[in-house]
Amino acid sequence: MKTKLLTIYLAVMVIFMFASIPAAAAQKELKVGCSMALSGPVSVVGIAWRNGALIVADYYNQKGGLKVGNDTYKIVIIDGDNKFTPEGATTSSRRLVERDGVKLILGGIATPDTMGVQAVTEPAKIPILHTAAADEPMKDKKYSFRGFVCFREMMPGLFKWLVSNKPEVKKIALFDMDYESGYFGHKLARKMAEIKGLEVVYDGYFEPGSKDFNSYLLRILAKKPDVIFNTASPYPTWPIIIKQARALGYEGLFMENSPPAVADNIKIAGKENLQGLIGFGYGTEGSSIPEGIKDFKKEYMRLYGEWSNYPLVYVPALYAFFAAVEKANSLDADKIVAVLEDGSDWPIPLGFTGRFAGAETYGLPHQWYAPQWVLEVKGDKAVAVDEIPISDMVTGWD
Amino acid sequence: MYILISQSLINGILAGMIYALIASGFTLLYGNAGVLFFAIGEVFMLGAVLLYCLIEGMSISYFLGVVIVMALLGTFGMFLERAIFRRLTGNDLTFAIGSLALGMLITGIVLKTFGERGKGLITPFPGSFKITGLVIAYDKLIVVGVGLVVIVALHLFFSFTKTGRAIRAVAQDVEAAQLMGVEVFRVKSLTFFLALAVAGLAGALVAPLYYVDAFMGTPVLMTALIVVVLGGLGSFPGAVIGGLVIGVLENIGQTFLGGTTTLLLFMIVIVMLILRPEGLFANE
Repeated sequence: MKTKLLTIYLAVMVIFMFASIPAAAAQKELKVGCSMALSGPVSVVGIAWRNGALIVADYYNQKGGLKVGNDTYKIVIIDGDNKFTPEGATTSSRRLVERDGVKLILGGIATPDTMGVQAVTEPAKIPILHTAAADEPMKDKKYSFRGFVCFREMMPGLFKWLVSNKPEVKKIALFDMDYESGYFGHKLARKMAEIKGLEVVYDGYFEPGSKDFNSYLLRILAKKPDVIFNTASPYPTWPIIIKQARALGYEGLFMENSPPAVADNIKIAGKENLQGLIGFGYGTEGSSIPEGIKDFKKEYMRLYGEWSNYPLVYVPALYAFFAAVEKANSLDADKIVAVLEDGSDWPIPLGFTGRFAGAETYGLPHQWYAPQWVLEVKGDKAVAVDEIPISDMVTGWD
Repeated sequence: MYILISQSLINGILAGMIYALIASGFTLLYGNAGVLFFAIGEVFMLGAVLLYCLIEGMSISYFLGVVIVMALLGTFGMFLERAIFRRLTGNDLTFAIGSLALGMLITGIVLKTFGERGKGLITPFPGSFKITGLVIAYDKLIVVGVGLVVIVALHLFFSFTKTGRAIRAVAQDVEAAQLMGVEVFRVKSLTFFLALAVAGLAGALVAPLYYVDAFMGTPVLMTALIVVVLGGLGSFPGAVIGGLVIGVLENIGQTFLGGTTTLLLFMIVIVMLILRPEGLFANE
């Protein structure tokens, strides 16, 4: 009897012993929210950036994840369609933070939706990587980082190239959608035109949702500009403007503040009308473009079929953003922010180096700087015709 | 200044032709079926979407595509009349709400199937020519030409054919028309066919000029309402002339006044409603 009881007792103890050993630790997840326009007309940008983010996440996950302390974290991107509105951005960000428990947020795309995101993320101390162009989202926003080379940074290099390579250009027309990013782009463009000795012959805006720009274009073309510059209008207004301007007989240049989305624009504007269109950003064609960028494009096309230059606007800074978590060796927002602010150069797998800086301009060093290229549409491609170094971005307003 | 005004006029006639076609569809339905069909903007959008699918997806030629779009949407109109709106006859508010709901349903289906991105159709008539310094694009000329042919054809149909006169009779007095032997339901079906075919035609015509997306119908409805208020609800000539007038005013206004033009157009609506609520060509 006693032996039986002892056996049972020992068996129970053994069972308890094994039951108390924790299950093999599953890899932890770093949840990253994506508060961008994933529906609606601007979703062509939001979806491209989200897809780019998935490739960047996969890059780190393939290496085993982000190492933080004794743990490794698999990056998991969680969608939060903000419908490109401030209200949508606030709602989606709140859901991402409170329900999904994200530690980082990617988004918004422009100023209005970014400010909607920040209404949640700043009080909640969630670092975000956005692409708002105006100054407001940069002012006193401790946890917000701008993840692309913005208007103030790119205009000196773009205008320097224009004046040097197109000396026939003397008169410039500024034409954008009537919203915050448009006003900001024009303010900077006017100043840069003045510095470079170009005459601003037209400075106007069109109503959001416009499709017929003929009335505006008649007024613009009456001023005989040599270049029509669009700083911030969302797709698909720009290719329509180009098409309608050409239909009215305009033979001058078009210039935009971003990489020409040739594949998308050709379908609306027509290939012939796009020739010579000048843009700025990371191109994928041309001998000066790093192989890493070309490889990224191949991977993107393998996964998603279609290519536009949109993912490249955002992805380089995103590599640095994730790498900062590892360097901070912590998921604590303040530690991640401190690492991003320390002025380090971040080697990007695409083949160049960038950094967050800009304290003298924005009060906080939260602006992304990286080499850019002037792009010109030739055939059905946006070809890199010149590289703009970081130094031009910093000193070009002097 | 001459170029500015003249070019605005040309653009205005083009826009006016499109408004005239859409407003014609809207006013046909009001005049003959006594219904406010608020899904007319979505039918316009469907015309553009269908043409895009026919040309890009099935490599059908432009003109054949336009004819197919009109036939498809006209048939859809007859289906709507028989399956839904015949049951709502006499209940104007329910009909109006029903048409709004239909519009939202159409937009939702298009969003799901066509997607949210605007898609472009390369114009089948590229190029332009100049007359006295004015640039006239071939594709815009085609739009104005086709629109004019359809409007003239409709006018001849209503004026000189037995069926056309029957449609006008029903618009004037349903009971009297019935007593004269007009099959009212058949006439209403035909009216739905014509109205949706014409609105769809407008969408198909503009598809290569701008871009096609699921949201292009809503602003068009607002303009159509302005046109029918100006021209007279239920008046086909009023819709045509009202459309042309609004198109020209809008373009010239936007060229010289910019964004305030829209406000001015709505002011015109309010003044018309006060001074002559029946419109310029009421019941003609």
